[in-house]
Amino acid sequence: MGSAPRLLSLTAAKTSWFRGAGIPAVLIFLLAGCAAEVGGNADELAKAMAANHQAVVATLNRVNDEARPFLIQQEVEAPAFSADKLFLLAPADVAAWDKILAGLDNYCAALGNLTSGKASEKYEEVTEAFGCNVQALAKAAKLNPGTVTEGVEAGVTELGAILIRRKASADAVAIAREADPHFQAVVHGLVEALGFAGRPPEPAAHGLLATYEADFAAFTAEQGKKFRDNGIADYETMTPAGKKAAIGEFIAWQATQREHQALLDAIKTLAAALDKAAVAHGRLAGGSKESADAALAALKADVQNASAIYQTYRKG
Amino acid sequence: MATINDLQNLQDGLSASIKSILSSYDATQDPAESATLLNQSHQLAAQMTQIETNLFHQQTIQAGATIDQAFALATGFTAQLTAAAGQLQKISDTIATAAKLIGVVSKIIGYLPL
Repeated sequence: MGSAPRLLSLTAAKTSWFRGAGIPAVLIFLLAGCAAEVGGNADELAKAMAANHQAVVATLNRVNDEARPFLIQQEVEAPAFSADKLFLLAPADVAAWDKILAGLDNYCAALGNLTSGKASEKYEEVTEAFGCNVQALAKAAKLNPGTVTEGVEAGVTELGAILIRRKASADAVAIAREADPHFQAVVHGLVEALGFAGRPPEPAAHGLLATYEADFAAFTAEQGKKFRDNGIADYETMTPAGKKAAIGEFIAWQATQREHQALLDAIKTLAAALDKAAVAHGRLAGGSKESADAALAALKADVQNASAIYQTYRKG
Repeated sequence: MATINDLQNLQDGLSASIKSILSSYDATQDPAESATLLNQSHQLAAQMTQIETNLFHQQTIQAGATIDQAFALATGFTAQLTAAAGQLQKISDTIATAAKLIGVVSKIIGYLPL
């Protein structure tokens, strides 16, 4: 990994959103100080991407957890056991997403540092360090070339390279302008991999979301039929004990449906939030402060939504 | 040679086919048909899952005419299943077509690494 120790622990930072963004403590130390505001304040973008990052990873892990009973049943019905089939998204792939999103966080944090009015006089050093960290995170993701995530790793690497090339300028708009095609490609690569198409993103019939929905539909079809239209099939013919058991099952089924719907809603919310972050980056790159400020301000609600999703689905 | 787009299109077809099979499952009162349709929906969901897992690892499937023919057949079967959605008199056709689809998708999955 070249000048190796650039990739520091994702948990090294000790303060609020920086920790989720995977930003090393040394960078936080260097952020102290002040510099002039340039265009829209990208701090909101950095906060939004950090919150999205945490929430996406937590949600992917939750999707794996929710799909596990279906995947176990698939194993039971399969002719041979395969450990690879116990996950909808392999742990190594979730880890790769984590690093790619951390790369985006670091890139956005570098922009935020330049536009927040709090940048250190050592902004050259800080920007370069962010750039190196972004590149190291992209490399550590080890995504397979030619897959659905094709271009994501290269895109994040290029974001790091742009920060390094432009470290002396302190011009966030110029950086964002050069980086925007890569930022858009990376974010939309991730949104598509989640199972969405178009802008604003709409659920596709393929991909992670559709697969999870197909698994849920097939492996809960018996309950769906038994409790169709909010009723209980053959209820009239049951004994009192049978009715009591069926009512218990009905209540459990309703809870399962609610949890399933909440997870689907969370995934849709995150896809929309990532798309809005990409829009805000595009506006920042456009150079119009008013337009950028409006798009960046609109991200505040997304930070809250993503944080709520993270709190719901984080482990432990 | 099949590409990622081919696999995604196959997922589109599988997704619609599973919905159609489950629609037939909801409609029938016949225990044997119910059991068969449910099992078929499980098999197709498992195949869709396996394709999804592989989309993060697979580049292209280099298998020439064999795989091309399998994708063509799968496309035809998924179209038939989608057209038959929810038609009670077609349940036997649905079961027969779903069996063929499961068979041909198994062949495609045989070329995937995971």
